[in-house]
Amino acid sequence: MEIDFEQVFRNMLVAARDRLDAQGPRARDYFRKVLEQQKDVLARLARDRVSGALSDEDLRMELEAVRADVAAALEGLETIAREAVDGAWNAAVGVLLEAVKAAL
Amino acid sequence: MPVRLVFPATRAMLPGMWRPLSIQPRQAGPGTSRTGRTGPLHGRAGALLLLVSLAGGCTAHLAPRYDPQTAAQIAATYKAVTKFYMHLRETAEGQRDYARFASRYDDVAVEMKTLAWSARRQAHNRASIDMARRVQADWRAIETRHRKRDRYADALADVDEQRLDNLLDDMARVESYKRDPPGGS
Repeated sequence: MEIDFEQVFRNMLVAARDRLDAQGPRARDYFRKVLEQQKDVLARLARDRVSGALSDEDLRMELEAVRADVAAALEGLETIAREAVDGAWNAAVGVLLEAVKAAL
Repeated sequence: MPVRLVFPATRAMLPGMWRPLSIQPRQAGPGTSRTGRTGPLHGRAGALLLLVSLAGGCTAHLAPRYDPQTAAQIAATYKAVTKFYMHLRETAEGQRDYARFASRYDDVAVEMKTLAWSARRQAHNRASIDMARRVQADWRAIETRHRKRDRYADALADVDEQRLDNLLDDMARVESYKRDPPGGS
């Protein structure tokens, strides 16, 4: 089954935005930019998992690496609580994993 | 020499988020010491620092300076990563045993360690230091996985290279903003 990554990505942004609402528009905007920077990587991971080129373990390891990359990119943004960023990330990736699961 | 102050929340690398605050010293003149410092400047700067610290619960940091050596090392690291993956793709997937690439991993690791060292040389450079450490951590994880599995599929290579490119792009962007902060000094 094909995965409509553009739609999935929009849903990921909504999920992350909901978690960051309390942090204000600047935090949401910043997180969106960081997530968009990783868009190609996330799309590739989702499609390669659905096609079978990547195993479930590969996908989870790579997503964990992307999470750490995003955390590094967010370094310096001390006004956003790390917990809030983690929550936004988990919400966004939860959407991606659901979409992959549904497509498999 | 102007002093650039940056809110911690805006030290990050994206456009519109960098808000350096410039304090221009007075021109030398009567009442100026040999160092060019004046009492009123210090008084105003101190008051401004205090104001910045109190506003919104922020603390002020001196902004790291642009460092051409770090900028050059980011480019050197990018080049090393690119060469590694070019060589990897030129090798058939079935022949990508770890031993064939061990020394090439070391070559890239040397460039990354030099990058981290270069970032550490500067004061107030936490964001760049953390990103350099993340690049190193990524590389170690990629090498460890390759050594354990003794293979490296194209699908993983593509995303790994893209992730490293993204991190190095971020580092390069930070250096660019240190040199030419939008609306800065």
